[in-house]
Amino acid sequence: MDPVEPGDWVTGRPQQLILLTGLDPTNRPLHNVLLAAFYNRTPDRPAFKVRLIAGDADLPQKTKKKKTRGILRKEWPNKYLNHVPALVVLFMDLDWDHPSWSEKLLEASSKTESLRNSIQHESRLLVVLLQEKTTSFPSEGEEKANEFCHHCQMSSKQLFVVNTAGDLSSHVGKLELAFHEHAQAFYQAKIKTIRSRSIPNNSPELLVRQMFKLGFLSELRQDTHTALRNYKLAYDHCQNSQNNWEMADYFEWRSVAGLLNYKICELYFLHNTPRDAITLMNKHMSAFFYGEPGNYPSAQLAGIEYSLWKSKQSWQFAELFERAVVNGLTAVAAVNPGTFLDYASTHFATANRMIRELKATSPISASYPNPDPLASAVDFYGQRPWRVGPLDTATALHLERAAIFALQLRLHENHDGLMTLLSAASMQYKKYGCPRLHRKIMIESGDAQAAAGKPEEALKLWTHVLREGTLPENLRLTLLNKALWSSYCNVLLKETMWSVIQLLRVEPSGTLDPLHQEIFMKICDAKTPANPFSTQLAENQVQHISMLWKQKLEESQFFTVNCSKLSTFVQVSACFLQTEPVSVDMQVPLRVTLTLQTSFPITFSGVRVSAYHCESSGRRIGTADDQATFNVFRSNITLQPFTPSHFYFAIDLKDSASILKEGHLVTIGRVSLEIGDRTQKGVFSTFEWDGNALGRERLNLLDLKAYGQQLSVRVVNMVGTITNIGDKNIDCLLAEIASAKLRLKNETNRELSDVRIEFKRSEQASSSASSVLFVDDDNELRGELELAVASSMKPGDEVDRALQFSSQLHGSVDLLLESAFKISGEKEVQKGRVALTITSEDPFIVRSQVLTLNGIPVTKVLNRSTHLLKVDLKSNADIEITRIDWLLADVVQNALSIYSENDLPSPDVLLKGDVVSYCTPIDIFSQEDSEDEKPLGRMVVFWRRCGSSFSVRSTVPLCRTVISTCPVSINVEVGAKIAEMRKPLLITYVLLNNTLEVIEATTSFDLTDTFMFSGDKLRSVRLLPGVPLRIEVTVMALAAGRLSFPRLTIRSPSIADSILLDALRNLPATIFVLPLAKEYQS
Amino acid sequence: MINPGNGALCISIVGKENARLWSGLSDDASRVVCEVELFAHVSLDIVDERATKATENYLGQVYSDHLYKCFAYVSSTGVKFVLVTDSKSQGLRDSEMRAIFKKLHHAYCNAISNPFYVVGQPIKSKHLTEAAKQIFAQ
Repeated sequence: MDPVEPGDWVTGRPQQLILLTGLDPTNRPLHNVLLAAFYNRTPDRPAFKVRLIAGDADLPQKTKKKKTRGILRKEWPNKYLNHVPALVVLFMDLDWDHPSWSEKLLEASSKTESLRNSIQHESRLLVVLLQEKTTSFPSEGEEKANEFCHHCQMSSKQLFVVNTAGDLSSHVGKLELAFHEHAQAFYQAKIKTIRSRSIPNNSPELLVRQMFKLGFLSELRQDTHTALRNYKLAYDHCQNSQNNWEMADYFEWRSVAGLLNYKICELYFLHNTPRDAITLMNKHMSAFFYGEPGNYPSAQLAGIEYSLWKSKQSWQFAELFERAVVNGLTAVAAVNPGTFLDYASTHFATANRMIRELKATSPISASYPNPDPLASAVDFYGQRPWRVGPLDTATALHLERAAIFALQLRLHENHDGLMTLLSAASMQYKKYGCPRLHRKIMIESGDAQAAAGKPEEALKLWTHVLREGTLPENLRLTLLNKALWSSYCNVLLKETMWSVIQLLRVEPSGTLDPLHQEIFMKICDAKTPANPFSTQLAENQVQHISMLWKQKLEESQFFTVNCSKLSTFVQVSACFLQTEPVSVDMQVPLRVTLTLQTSFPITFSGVRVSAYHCESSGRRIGTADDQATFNVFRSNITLQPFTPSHFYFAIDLKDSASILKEGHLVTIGRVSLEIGDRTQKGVFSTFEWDGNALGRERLNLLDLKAYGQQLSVRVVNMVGTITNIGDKNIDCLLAEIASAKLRLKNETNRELSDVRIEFKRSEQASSSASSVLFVDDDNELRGELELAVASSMKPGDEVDRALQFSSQLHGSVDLLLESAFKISGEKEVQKGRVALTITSEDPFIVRSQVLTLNGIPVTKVLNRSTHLLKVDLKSNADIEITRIDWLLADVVQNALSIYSENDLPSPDVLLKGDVVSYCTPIDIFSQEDSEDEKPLGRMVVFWRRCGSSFSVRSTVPLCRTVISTCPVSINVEVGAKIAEMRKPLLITYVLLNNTLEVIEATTSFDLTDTFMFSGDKLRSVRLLPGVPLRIEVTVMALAAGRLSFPRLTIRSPSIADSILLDALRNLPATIFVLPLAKEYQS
Repeated sequence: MINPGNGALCISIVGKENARLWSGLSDDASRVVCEVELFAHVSLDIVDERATKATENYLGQVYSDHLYKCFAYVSSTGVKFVLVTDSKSQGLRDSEMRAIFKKLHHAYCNAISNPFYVVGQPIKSKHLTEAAKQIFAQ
């Protein structure tokens, strides 16, 4: 009855068969190595398999075929895979210079003749000579080879010579290629033979057979494209002849079509055209899956046979698909192996159902027929065992009846097979991320388990699926009914109730199944529930189950159903009626709303509300989840259908005042409805809704009734505390000692003592709060503070307290000061919080730059020369600068110390927005010649806010500048301290070579009308390394006042003019000349 | 199974977060309600996969088996419209199917324009019921 298995050959790729003879691997190591090299097949080598035979006796002989009718013989592919060789290869050890050459020739001739006579099926004979020596004359070898071929009556193409002294693996590789070519020629010849056979009347059977054979031999020839074409032709013949099939041959035709479809799909996957394979499979299903199953041997058996065949087809394709995926094909959710496994399981389940129906409608009590009509081995695919061989009509009819009888006896539902298919499909759906398809398989698995008589397993699967909230309503109800039936059959009280309370939920306009109501009411009254589906169970089974229920309900039964994620017969919501924080001495009101979603009233023995306390983050305090801090209970409540009933409770926090702390949350954790009496015999059931389910109603944003409702309230210290009504936001300058005027008020209605203010870094919410330092009573800066405020404060009293601090960071910082106090008459210290916000900014903005001695700003400075450093300070507040210090970098030297280490003669007073500039000459001496930016150091500014006594030391960075190399530095010395008109003035230009090489240069003095001049106007100089060269000129000013300084120009072929121009830029730009008339004393 | 015109059996509208917003069944599907609903439900797996790569709202035929075919449309806001048809029916051209989904989308927009409708909750709308009736009757 099961579909015909094609055989093992169909699972792998067809390989050419080559027989080897003449090798003795046991006694000859060389032969062993050679044989091992042939046996070792890898994918990159020609696709053939070799087999060693002893001699011509092992060669296959032709067998006479029985004249029977059929399409494809089952054993035909095996004929070419395992019996008929493409080649027979004879190996001989024979050197060309063998001493008994003639005898050896005779021996070879005899062997080849014997093999040739034994070989049938036109297999080809090849000879391989294994030689230890090589001849030094190639012509001699050729001559001997010709002689050998002549004696053995074979062509030279059939002879191969292997030198065993050389690299054996390369010889084996060449031999394999040669064998492969000869084998292909053999299969080509076979193809020609088969193609030339005539087909009388274009018989579809013969056409299909011929095309299949051509396809298979093409595959053996490794020509898969031709094979595919032939298989497709055969498949088309099958499809086209469908209408002409005889009903008795349906199964045979379908078996052949299935085999051809498998081969075609396999080749499509092999050719990396998976779309074609999937399309063909879909076409195959369309063409062959929706036909009539026929009525041979009987209508029921044909239907079952057809379903199993369809299942097998889908499963086989899924196998091919999965194999392709393993080899790198990418599948998707829409089409993957799981899809076809799903189809396979569907057809398999149909077959199981039909078998079940057949067994139920046609029970057989007789024994199995003897002889067994199904024992005969079949020759063809899809052939019936009782139709093997020629039979007369009477015998055939008798056998047929016996076969139907035997088949019906043999038939049984294969639940394990179905579960295997479903599991495989389930895994595939999981793999491709199809959760809904996966759940569909779970539903079907549940059905299969139920059919297999395992309702408890089925229940597990169905309940698992039912926990998903997005199932379609009708499907959900169907599954609930199944779950109810399953739990009823297994006498599972809790599970029965779990199903019933969901089935009880109906819309106000809907109708309730009275059976569900009856089951619910009976269980509540500890009575045996009614059988939900009397038609599915036999009477005796119903009685047995009823008895089990009775026994169960005679004992006390306790169970709890978690309804949080279910749509049940009661809709529950709960909330606190107070939104403001509560104190530990209060009672907190809360409301529970219960709405019965079924059409009859129900009385519960009570409703219980459990609340617990947790940290402000929501983390539950304590370990046991079911351990509630607060419990309130109302007994005997009756709910009316579709009418909301409100129940009000109050939680007294005093009961747990010792464990409640400020900041804790009190949360409604659970609402439970109870039925029955815990203390008495019978059923006591509890239906629970957790916090998530209770708050679900609040998600409805448009529900105005839900506004302000909450499941948690915050606990605060309602005794009262100390508050600050003074400064709360203070602005200050960075690092200054600022002061905040706190005005602390006793907001409690009690007298307080020992009032203190504390600042603790560990208590701060912001990490930047630790950047604030406080001035303690000893005028020391501290990271933490404890400040006594007052020894006693009456209710409403206000106390002023200055808080001095220094902020070390820019920007806004939130501080949390802790107030600590004792309530008079109590020993415990109460604590509160005082918040302060400090915003600090820089006292001044610093801008520094480097100038030439003439006051011109420069972006880069010359090494070994003098410049001016200028720092501008722009004040952000009214401050006084009392002192500045230069902390210059190593590359900079202060050419003239001013104010250093000393206070300014008088403080520089700056109003907000004022700018003060400080300058100092600097000499640059850098050892490195790199042109990187270098920092010039820092400046320390001592300042204080106007009117403050606390001085602050601020260190500010100076600018960075590029130090450029200066090969020649030029300075000037003026001969007199005062230049006077019409008096000679000696001016000396000092040139210094800073390099290690001699520099040739030309100096020229620029003549002007304002000076008379004496000296060299043009001079060629040679500057030696490190030796200053002095160029002296005497000038006489012809005018008074600020005149342009006499200019010197220098040029050198080895130095760029721009560099020399930069060096000259440091010379004075002007000189002040006094008039002649006045006497001047130095 | 009766096999009229377009063979439409079930229309389902599912929210972005997979909440079931609305579903309608044709009279022809009355005997196979569970199967059709289950098919529409499982097709959402394929819709989810296709929607991520889709370049337009209409996704075409997303899933089929030997009994049913499923067509899908995903709005710009991620609401999924699924139409299940009988696999043996003649079927509709893509342009006709697009028009059907456009009509459904329009009816859906009208339905959620109700100021008392809470987003994400099941829809009760005469617009959708009428539109579905017309589609089933085609």
